Amino acid sequence: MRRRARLSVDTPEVNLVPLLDMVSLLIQMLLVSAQFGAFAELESQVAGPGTPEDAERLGLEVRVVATGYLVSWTVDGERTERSLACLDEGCTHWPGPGLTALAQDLKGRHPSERQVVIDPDPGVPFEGVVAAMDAVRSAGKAPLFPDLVVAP
Amino acid sequence: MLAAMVDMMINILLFLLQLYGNSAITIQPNPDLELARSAAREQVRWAVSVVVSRNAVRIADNDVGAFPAQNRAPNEQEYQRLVDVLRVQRSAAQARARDGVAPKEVVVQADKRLSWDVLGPVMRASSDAGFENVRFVVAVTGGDAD
Repeated sequence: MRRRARLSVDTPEVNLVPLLDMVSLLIQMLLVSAQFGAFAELESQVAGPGTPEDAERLGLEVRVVATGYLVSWTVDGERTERSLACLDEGCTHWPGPGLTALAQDLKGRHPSERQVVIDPDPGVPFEGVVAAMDAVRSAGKAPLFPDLVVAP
Repeated sequence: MLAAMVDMMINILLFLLQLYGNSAITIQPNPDLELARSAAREQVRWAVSVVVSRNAVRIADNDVGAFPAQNRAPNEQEYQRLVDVLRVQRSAAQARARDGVAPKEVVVQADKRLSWDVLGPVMRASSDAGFENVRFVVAVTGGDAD
């Protein structure tokens, strides 16, 4: 009896090499343009002529000076001012926590107020301005004075 | 063997595509542009982009001035150029807008070490060009601002 020869059937394989080439090229391109840091934005309004006078009754204003912050606000029609000095000699650590504590106190007494005017002196570094904005806009998740008006 | 590798690469590709799709503007790491740190969490939205590094001011990829290199305020000519380029960009953004409304906001990426002598005039120029609001891009911290 003759035996029938078995047919060997090769399973066809998809050629993955071109796909791998393409995917690795795409990965390289995306890695070059990817940004891994986390970024956010701080919104502010540019103070126009007369904007500080438009501030509501409290009229909270933070001047950023070379030595720290000068905070002023209105109580019974009169301006009150408080100075918050930097936490070190060269002013690399801005008194943000002190400013937040003061803002919390003022917010507690004037819960409807939302606006603060930030007025930086010409020579101060930008990080001091951002630290002031950060300190007065919120304390953790609780908003304090989120409407930031910056005097250019 | 190759199938496992393809799986892995496609996962990486999807992760990178998702990362790429989340960013409204491009923020490239640059030693001349160290962003200030903040506890803000608001996502960066697209707007006309102004980059003020320690060397130059760039508005929508146009070099506009080199006065930040000296950490000084722009002179009259430099200031006027800032206003002009911002006006052009505002008109271009208005033409691109579906509703035809001119944008009111500009996104500023500024180096944290620059003095307000440099940034104050950039804000003033934005205002003169018709932008009422300025949104500063900041690096997110874990909690309180550093």
